[in-house]
Amino acid sequence: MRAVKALFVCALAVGPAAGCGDIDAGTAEYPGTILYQDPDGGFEFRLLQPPWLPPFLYKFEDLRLTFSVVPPPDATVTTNLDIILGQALFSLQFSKVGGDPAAAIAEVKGSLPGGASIEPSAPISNTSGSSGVQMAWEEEGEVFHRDAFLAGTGTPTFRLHFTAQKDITDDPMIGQMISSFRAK
Amino acid sequence: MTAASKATALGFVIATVVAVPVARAQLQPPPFDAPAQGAPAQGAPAQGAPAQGAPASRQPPPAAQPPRAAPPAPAPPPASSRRSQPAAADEAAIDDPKVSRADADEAIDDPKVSRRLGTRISVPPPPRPSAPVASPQPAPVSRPALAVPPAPSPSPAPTPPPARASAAAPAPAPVEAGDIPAIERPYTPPAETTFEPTLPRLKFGLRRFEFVQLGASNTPTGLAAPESFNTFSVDVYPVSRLVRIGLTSAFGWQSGTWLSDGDYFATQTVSLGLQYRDLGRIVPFIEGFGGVGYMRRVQFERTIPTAFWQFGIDAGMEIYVARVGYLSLALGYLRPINGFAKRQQFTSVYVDTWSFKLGIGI
Repeated sequence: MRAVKALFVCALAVGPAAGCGDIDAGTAEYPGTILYQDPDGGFEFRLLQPPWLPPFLYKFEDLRLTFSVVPPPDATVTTNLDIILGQALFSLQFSKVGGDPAAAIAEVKGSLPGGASIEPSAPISNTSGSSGVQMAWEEEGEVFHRDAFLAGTGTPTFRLHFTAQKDITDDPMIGQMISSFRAK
Repeated sequence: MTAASKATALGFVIATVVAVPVARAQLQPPPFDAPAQGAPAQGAPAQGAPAQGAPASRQPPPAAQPPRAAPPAPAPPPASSRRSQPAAADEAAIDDPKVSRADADEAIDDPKVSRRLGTRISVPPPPRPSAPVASPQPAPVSRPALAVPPAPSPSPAPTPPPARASAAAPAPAPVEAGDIPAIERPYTPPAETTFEPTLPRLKFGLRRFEFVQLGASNTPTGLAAPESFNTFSVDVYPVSRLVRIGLTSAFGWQSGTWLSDGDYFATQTVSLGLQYRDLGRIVPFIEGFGGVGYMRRVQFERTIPTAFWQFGIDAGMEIYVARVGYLSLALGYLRPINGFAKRQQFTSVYVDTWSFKLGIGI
């Protein structure tokens, strides 16, 4: 009986201390995620962090790329971008592309290797006002990609390029990141 | 003095001399070691009584024998009697008038027993039990006392039988039939034994509820994707009376997955509730509970350890199929909460949801 009383008292003590929760996941948008804003103010989106690492900016001459990855548990600690992307379970690359989303996706489709398996593109839109198209395709060697081209009203078109080691065509976590993107 | 008177006096003296020893011999106890047959008793020859004539001459005089209404029943030997069974048989033989006195004398051969017995006396037999005992103040009518006075009517109207036998049943009404008092009771059918279930001590339950998948959304609105959990629980109720306290160990897994690629959690919960056992096979209950545990989230192929706790309230019933076995149905209102690290701060998300729990227990 003393153990029961002790457990009961502990439950009563821990309950209020732990609280009844911070975010109502039944009504809140993108619960549990953090909002990432581009330092240049070009866009923003939401992601789970962890497991995603904080996005980092890669600049090379005129090229400006924003990366984020989900590293494996045994990831190598390095600054080499090739190694980081090669080991990542998931990776995301933001880049500006020319034209509207439809023209951009057509250009990407034309540049894909012949052996790639391409899923038909589908229109996407979100509550932030951005809209566009997306497609999924599989590279040789079981490397899967999903590309979304989004643009807001009067904003450039952004390409969200996901790469994973599994099929992510209908992955709701990837879908949540796409739908949370907002171009500024 | 004439010759006739002298002869009469002489005859009287002779008769006295002869009769007195004979009478004394008859009043003395029998000889201890008299021979079985033919031998004269040690004391008897001194008195001049022949041994052969003992049976007839030793009969006690009728005046010394108290009158008997019936043959005396052999008195039961006292519990503390030290007489042996043969001695008792000998005494019985003495009491039997058909047995000769010589046989009785031969049977009592123990001088101690003979001294203890002494002169025979006759005890009147005890009154027969069938004879009515005369009380000092006999009642005019010998009738058993009744707690309730007899009803005025010779044939009282029968009272309707009560639904259930209870202590408040009407008192029996006496009815006289001739001189024999009779007690009339209304017929009361045997009361049905109420089913008394053994209140829950152990339960195996399966609960299902909806939670959310963090970082996932299937809609453009950004609402979190639903995620169903199935929970297997073992409930132990160390206190189970009107108030019951339960300890629940539960394991829940994401519906459609198992340990390898899905979310799961394990919790320890304490519950406090009320239950009502007087409805037969159905024991309704309501209980609140709260528990804490661990939840594993699989996000982007990575295992993310998180915290999990929950509050809820269940209302349901235990349906007993036996005295110690029952099925359990419960509808609950549940608030599961998932706490995790967001960047470097702890946050938590929750939902308010319904849950349904099935169980079986003892």
